[in-house]
Amino acid sequence: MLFNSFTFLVFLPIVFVLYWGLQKKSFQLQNIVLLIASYIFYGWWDYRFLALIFASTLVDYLVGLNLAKQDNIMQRKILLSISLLFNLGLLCYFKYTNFFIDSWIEAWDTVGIHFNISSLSIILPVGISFYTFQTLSYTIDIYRKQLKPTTSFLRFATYVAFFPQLVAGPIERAAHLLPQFDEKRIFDFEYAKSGVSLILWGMFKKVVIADNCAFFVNQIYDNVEAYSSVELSIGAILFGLQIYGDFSGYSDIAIGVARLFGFDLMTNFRFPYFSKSIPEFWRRWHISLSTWFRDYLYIPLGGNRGTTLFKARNIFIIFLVSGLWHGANWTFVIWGGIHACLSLPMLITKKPKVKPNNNSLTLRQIPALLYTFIMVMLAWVFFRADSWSQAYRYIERIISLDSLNVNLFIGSSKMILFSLVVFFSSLVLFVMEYKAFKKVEKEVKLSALSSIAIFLMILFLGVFKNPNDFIYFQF
Amino acid sequence: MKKFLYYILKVFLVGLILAYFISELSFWALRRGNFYKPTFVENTIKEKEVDYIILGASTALTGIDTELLDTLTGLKGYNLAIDDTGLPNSYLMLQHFLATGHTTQKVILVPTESSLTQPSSLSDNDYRFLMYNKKRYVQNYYQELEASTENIPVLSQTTYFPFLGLSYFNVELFFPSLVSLFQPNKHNRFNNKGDYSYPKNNFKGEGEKSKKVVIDFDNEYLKKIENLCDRMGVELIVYFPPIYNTEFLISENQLNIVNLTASFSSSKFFYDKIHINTEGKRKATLLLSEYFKIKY
Repeated sequence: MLFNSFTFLVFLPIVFVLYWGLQKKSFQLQNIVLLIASYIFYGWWDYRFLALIFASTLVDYLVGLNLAKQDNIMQRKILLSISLLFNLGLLCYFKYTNFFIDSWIEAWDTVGIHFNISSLSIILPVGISFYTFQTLSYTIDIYRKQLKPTTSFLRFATYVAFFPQLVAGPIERAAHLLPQFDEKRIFDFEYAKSGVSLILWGMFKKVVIADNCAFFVNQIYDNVEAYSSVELSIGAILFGLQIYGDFSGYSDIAIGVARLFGFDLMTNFRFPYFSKSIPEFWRRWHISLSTWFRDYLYIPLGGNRGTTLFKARNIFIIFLVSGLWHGANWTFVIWGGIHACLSLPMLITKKPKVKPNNNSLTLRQIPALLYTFIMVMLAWVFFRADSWSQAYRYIERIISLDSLNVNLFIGSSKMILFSLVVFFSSLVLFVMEYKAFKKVEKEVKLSALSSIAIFLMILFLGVFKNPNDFIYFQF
Repeated sequence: MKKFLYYILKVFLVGLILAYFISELSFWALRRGNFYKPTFVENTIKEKEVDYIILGASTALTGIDTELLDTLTGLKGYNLAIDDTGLPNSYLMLQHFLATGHTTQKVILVPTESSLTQPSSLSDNDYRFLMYNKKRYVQNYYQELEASTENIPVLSQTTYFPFLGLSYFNVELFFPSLVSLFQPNKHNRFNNKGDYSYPKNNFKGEGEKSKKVVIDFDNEYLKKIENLCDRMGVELIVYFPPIYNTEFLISENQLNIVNLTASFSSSKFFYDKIHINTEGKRKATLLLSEYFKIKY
């Protein structure tokens, strides 16, 4: 079920009424409503894959319980390995099998040895990268004795399948979300209101910003050679806006919907395009994934301790793995590699780390902001391209500065209107976000009046006829 | 909870009321302009009586040079065809033409093979009548054709919730309404007679095998058009423009048929397999005018 679908528009109020109708009875009943709703939400896409979520839930629930009972280090390691093997095994099979087969064939092809193996027909279950990471964090935290396991299977199953964030995050930690299923939820007007405001803002980012940008971006990436350097440059920026609108929009809607049910989900984006360096960008972009990799990969590898070479190795590992997490394609690995390279100067020069809530933006910082923005936009080219050669050609064409033609954006009245919509809505996005950024808010807050204005913009400027799936569903 | 529901209701009600007004304003701007054919009929065709109108889809839109036909026959007519539509839309256009106070002596209907054989359904460009969603015949049309779809009946519900259609078809309706507001005389890819022309290109027709197709006229909406023409005393002429390497074999019927499907053997007159180019249009119009001269 898509957040931007009519089905969800009907589904949400029904679940809301059922859920709060049980407020005075028991929060366990509320959890049952949420669990059933979450399974319906996911099953709407493909009910067969509900078995995977259930299996993942059951394995990690049992591993968690047994880990708590077990003091023997060897036994604990075996239990953790079961969880790791099961979850990462699922992820590898569904997401990376064909990638490894194709890469294997291509590698041998280059030395003249040909294998007659064809790719397997595997459907990637939506959200598998998200919920496997979420359940993994649960068992790892118990293994590290940072978390006590829940004894209630219902609570754990609801935590894993919680529909607002099931298919595209934020990737929640058990320590933060799980206890919320153990408490009585009391309806809070201000909290629910802020949820509605976030849902509207997220919807604006998705259907107005991302889907209108997609109109140009898809055309450009379908035929890179047909467009001028200026058009390709604008296209690169538009994809940056598209993916931001798409993914952060989804996160906003997820957080907003969770608030309607009295739950607090972690902030996933904190105005990343106002970053003044690449490391800062990663403290503001997809925070739930960045912190996951920090806690479960970067720090166990040694983090920022040791020699510069050692630190650089760790940075490369974390970014390359992060790239591969995004998709089974070398373009994502290269994208991760670019970010690793861009992060190195900061590491070598040992500049002091900017605090995440440091939202200063002075004139002297503008060049750093622009540099970061441009680098991030160029790196996105590898993220969006079908192959590394297409991305390379794209960048090469931009640098060649062969033509200043902008016909794609002004060639007909329809294109001019689309361009105006994209420009105007992006302006609204940046102005609203800048205001929130300066106030050191963690999100854009809409008043009743601005909510109405955003609602009207969604209605008249949004894309509803041919809606695009959320990009991160494929991860 | 009550406070929250009241807040939601307030925000959404105000939003919906504003959306309602914006939608009505937008439809008003479209009705005032000439962007699509339905408003072109109402605002541009000043004559109450014309000699002929052309109805159909893209083959009709690009298949006759209306200005040339007028010059050759001394008649006066307009091309009211809309691309990517079927016979139901032609029927709706005929109803609309008559409802706006116009009359015609002849209707030149240009059906495609698929529009005669496939079941009647909504077509891609039916939204172009949405600015007339309060008219009974438009409502009936949408309700009838949307009854069989599983999707949300966006077109028929626009009568009650005008923002529904305008939001769903915002690129096609909301944006053009802004254009119509400032440029009321702008047309969407058709000239002052309602024609559109395909340029000469390098269509070679390679790989196209010649074929003969038997055409039957057992179609619900063709019958409706026939009946309406009979009631209004309008003569119905069914015209088949040239198609590359294809000949229509006409089954027995009571209609006036002009079949030029097999008239051109050279690909130079075609833009693609089913559409003739500017040169082909001119030549086909000459042939059509011969029919008119002989018959009348």
